[in-house]
Amino acid sequence: MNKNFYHIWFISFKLLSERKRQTIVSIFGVGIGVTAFIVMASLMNGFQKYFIEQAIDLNAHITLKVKPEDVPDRIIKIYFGKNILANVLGSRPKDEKDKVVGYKEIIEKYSQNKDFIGVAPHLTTQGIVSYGTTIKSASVIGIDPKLERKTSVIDKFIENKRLDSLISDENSIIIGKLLAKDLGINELGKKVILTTPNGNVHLFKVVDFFNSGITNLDQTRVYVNIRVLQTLLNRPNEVNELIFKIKDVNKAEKLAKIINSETSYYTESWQFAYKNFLQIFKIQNYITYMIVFAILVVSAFGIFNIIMMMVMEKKKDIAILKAVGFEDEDVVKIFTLQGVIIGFLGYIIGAIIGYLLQEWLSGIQLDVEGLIRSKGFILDRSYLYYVYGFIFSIFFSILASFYPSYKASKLNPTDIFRSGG
Amino acid sequence: MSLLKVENINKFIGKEHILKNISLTINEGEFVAIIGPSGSGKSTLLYLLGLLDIPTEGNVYIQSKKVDFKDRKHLSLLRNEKLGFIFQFHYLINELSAYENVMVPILKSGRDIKLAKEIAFNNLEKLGLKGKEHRKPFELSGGEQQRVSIARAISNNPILLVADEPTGNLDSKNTEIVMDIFENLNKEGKTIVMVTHDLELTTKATRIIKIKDGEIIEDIKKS
Repeated sequence: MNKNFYHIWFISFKLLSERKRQTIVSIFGVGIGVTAFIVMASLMNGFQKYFIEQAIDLNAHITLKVKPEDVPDRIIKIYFGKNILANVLGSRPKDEKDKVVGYKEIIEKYSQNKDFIGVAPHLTTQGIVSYGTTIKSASVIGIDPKLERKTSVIDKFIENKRLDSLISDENSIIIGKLLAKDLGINELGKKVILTTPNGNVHLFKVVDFFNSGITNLDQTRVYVNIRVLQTLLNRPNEVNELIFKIKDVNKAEKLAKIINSETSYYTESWQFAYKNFLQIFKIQNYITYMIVFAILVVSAFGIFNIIMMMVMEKKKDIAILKAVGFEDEDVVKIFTLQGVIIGFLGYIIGAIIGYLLQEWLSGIQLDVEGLIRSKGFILDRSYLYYVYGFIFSIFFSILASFYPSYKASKLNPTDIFRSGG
Repeated sequence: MSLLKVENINKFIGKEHILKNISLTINEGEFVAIIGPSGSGKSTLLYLLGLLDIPTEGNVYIQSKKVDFKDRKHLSLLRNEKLGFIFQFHYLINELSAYENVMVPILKSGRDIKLAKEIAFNNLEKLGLKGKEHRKPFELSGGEQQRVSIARAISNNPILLVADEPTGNLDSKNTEIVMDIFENLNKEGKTIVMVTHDLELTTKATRIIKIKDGEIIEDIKKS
């Protein structure tokens, strides 16, 4: 150890070790804060990351679609100008079909761009799926399995990996796991009837289940071959949506704008599509971190308390230390170091308990069904929480111990000697 | 040879004029006793000589070098290397053992722990505390505590020992022991300045300075 620091360490350690009970309580105070931070952050971010990853993988990084133009207030503004106060009670949808014109050229163009991994066409519509007497509404997506596989990670979420069945047998359908459950379908090979909005019906054979873990999607989504859906909807060779997979998901917003300017079609990045969720996550994070912050502040007060009490009790010792040559900054260091020691030991304990809690939580078998479905807690086991926990605990320890240390350094030894200590 | 010199020192505490234009030279090897009634300013003068307090006016010289009271770091260094303090109360740190208390100024001076420990043990042995090095202050008698504080004061081999009523809290037997130690230290060449109100203690001093109402009224050097 640096001999210029040894006297600081020596006094700090001795003063602290003689106050075992108070020191241990303060250490555990910091430890609880660190544990709370590590566990809460890994739980919260584990859930959020899982949701975002699934959402990104499933719903394309960028979606190109035909934006509905007949927004009532927009039309009113066009005809009557801006200065009008109107109450629109309803508007009839346009008869014109939403279709992406020249979609093959768009697919061709972006498939060759180095920023893109794949582009796939979709024809989406609402439909009714019936099995026996059970009827459920569904979000029907017509896909080209080969291009879809390149553009999304649909394979990952299809239980029996039978995406190619949509090619080999065009009467095949892949339906959401929860939708199948709602319909009463528990095994593959069952026949369902799909009714499209134009009244056409078609009999499909269930070849696989789609199981993403996101309740909302698994409860509504069905996949069929795009050509079959085009025929059913009387829309040969038409698509109303293109999905893009890009190399860097963080560039989605930027690339969506580029596609929009080059094609004039409405484009949506995954961030935009999930902005409500991202906003909720942000608020959730604020709340979590505020709670953790409050815990850390309370533990910092614990440190403040012990150091302040020590300074009050140790006035005579501070005076004699100054008399034998200790400088003001030595005194600051002696008491701040005690706070740092408490913070560091608190961190070690907090990190160990946090790690053990993470282990325990990740081993719990639990059926979670809500926004997502899983068989237990989804934890983000990043080492960064331990790094941040370390930084926070040391920062709060220094913050809490600095003021009493500073006060100690400003004590005038002669005042103490005159008063007889 | 002049070890410490104060020149036209004035000290005010609030509006009260505690020390009035005091000039004084302490020479090497002297054992100076400063005496005077309570409130005469003798302790304030001692704190100024020990660089613990700052004069309102006037200068202090140590080994002919003017002390810069604005340079707090240098003041701390001088206190650590050149001065040793003994007070009426022992002011030992309760959490440290006897030898650890003695080591404190040595460690501050940057010397390594092995050497510091060696010096501490030697000093304690010299003051008759062999075998009690590991005891905490509360495990020692009043006289022993004061001897530990003397061992601490001489740990860095200072040029001047500053003692403020060092026997004020001791019984007659321990007072005698402490005064014998001072006498021996002085005989070994250590310069001592001691404040006391007990005239009996001045018998061992080589010089007596009487102070009253903040002024030196008598300065007697024994032959």
